[in-house]
Formats: sequence, structure tokens, C-alpha cells
Amino acid sequence: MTGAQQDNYPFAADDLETAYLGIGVSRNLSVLDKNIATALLILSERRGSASGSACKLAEGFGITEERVYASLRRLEARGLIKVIYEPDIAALIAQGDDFRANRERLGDDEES
Amino acid sequence: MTKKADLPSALDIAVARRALGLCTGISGGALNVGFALLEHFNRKTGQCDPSVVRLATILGLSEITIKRATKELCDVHKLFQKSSHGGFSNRASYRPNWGRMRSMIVDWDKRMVTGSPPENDEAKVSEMTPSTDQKRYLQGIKNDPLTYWNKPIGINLNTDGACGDTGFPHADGGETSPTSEPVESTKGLGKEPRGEPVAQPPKVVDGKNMRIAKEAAGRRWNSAMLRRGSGTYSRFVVWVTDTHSDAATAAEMRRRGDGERYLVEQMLRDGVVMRDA
Repeated sequence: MTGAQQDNYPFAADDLETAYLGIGVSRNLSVLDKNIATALLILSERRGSASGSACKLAEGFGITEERVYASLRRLEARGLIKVIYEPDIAALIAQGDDFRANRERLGDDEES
Repeated sequence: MTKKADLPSALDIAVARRALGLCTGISGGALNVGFALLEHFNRKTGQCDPSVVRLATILGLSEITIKRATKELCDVHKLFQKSSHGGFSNRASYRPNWGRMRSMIVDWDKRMVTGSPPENDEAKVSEMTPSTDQKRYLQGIKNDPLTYWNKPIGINLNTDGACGDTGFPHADGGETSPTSEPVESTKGLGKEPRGEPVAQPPKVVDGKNMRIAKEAAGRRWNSAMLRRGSGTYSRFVVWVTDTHSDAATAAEMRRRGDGERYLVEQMLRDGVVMRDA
């Protein structure tokens, strides 16, 4: 972090501007990758990260989610972004509950 | 020089960077040049006149790419306004279109909320080169075509007794004309006389696929005969009749290559060509 960081914001304004400039003048990125990287930075300005943004980006640019994911993978491979996968505990619990419910139902059938 | 009231704030430049980064349908070179132009913009004086050579050196692009990119930025995407010779040392001066960039960001924010796709999809479609070929009136509505596309090249299949009247050159330079028709009535291979309409052979209404197959078979045996040399082919076009053509086409349709075999056998039988020793 080089610039003066504002209160409650994770990035300094100067750093952000330089980051946008870096995305724009990069010779190694395609236009789509630059679009995605810029949009991701915009979405991350407030919290420092963006979650569940692939769908939003796909709709915003009018492209498929597959293209967004491919672009995110390319950006991650270049070390420009970090893609973090977090467990969705509710979905996992639901799977376990489903299994138990099925087991109980089968048990009842066998008993009857 | 730009007036003080027209000078942008730091926020305008920040918005411009985001708008450039979100711009879709723009070329990579134009995006690089756009960012470089913004970086050269002097917020105090409004001066923005980097030379083409300077931009090319900084970005590692060729000068023609820089010119093409500035043209795209100014004419296609309207992100900058160019004033030729408007800068220092008669350099071109550029002025970012702050209003358009702001509207792009507003549009983006709106799309993020509503989840709607971008309204303008023009940039995703490549501009097609306009066709330069001539129009063909194949329906016979206005003018009948002078060339009949659906028959083998070099073979006149008319039933008016003009079989073999193809204008194929003889060795002495004259045109082959076995009938008593005047020479000027045929102008080149496969063409019909301009003046009077030519009677078409009676058409048997087959399925579309059958017609296509017949045409393909006719083209195949005709090409095969052409490959036998100009001397053989000139004797062939004089000799061939509708009966031979139809039989050859039928044989060709039965088995590939049989059309040519049939014609060669018939020509040998009639003494048109001699078998090689």
C-alpha cells in the first residue's frame, strides 16, 4: 500500500487509480480480461473483495458465465486477482439432511 | 487552451479510467492509447497533446497502430475529441469526452443493479465488407440470364438441333459449328444467343435432390472429358448428343466414373477417337 488510505476503505485512492491504469495499459491482457478486471476492482472498492460476482459480470457485459470464469482463471494465473472458494455451509448441511431423511425413509420401509 | 470552468476534477479522471476499462467492443490498442491519453491529460491546464511517436514509444506499439487507435477512440467510441494541429508544436490535441464516460459509468451501475445486458451490441458485430458481385436474375422475373448455370460447361443440351454447338476452337482457329446456324449466334462456351429465347429441354419434375444429383453427375463426366485434353474434348463436343448426355449422366449416377467410361466406349465405337496402342 503506497497511497494514503481513506477511512473505512480498504484501498488508497491513489493505489486504486494506479491499479486501473495498470489494467488499462497492460499488454498481456485481452480486452475482455481488462473489462473483467476493471469491473472486479469497481465491485471490490468498498470491501476489498467481491463475492458471487461472476453472474453479475456476465449479465453486465452481456456474455456467458463461462467466459467470465475463463477470464477470472486467466487473471488468477497471472497473479492479478485471487479467486477464493468458500464453503456454503447451508448447502452442505442440506445435503446431509437429505441423506438422513432418505435413510430414515428407507429404514421405515424395511421395517414395515 | 481550455477554460478554467471546463477543467475536470480528479473525480472526472477517475471516472474516465473506470469507463475506459469497462468499454466493450474496443480494440486492445485503442484501450492502451486511451489510458495513455488520460495519463497525459494535464488537469490544471487541460493540455493533452502527446505526439504519435511518444505514444508509440511509451506503449511499444507502431505509429500506425496509434493513429488507428486514436481514430477509433474519437470516431467510433466518441470517448475523445481530437483537434488536429490544436496542441503545441502543431501536434494533435485530445479532449476526453467526460460526459460520455460519466454516462457509461452510470449505465454500468444501473446494469449491476438490474442485471440487464448492455443496450448497445453494435460493437460485437463485425462490419461486413459490402458484396461486389453482380446481381443474378435466376427467377426470370426481369431479364433471363445469358448463362445457364445448371448444365455442364461446354455442352449445349438444347433440343433445337444445336448439339455440340459450343464454339470450341478448331485447330485452324475457326469455331466448331456442325449446324447451319450462323457463327455469331453463339458467343462462347455454354452461352445462348442474345436475341431470341432458347427453348429449354422438357423438364421432368423430380425431387430437388434428384436434380442436384443429376447436375453433379453431369459436371463430373464433363470434367473427366475435359481432362482428356483439348483435342479429344473438341471431338467429343462435336459428337455428343442429348442421348449420350442423358445416358452418361444416368451411368454416372449409378456409379462414379461410369459416365466417362460410357462416353469413351461410345466414342470408340463410333470411331471418334482411337484407342491408344
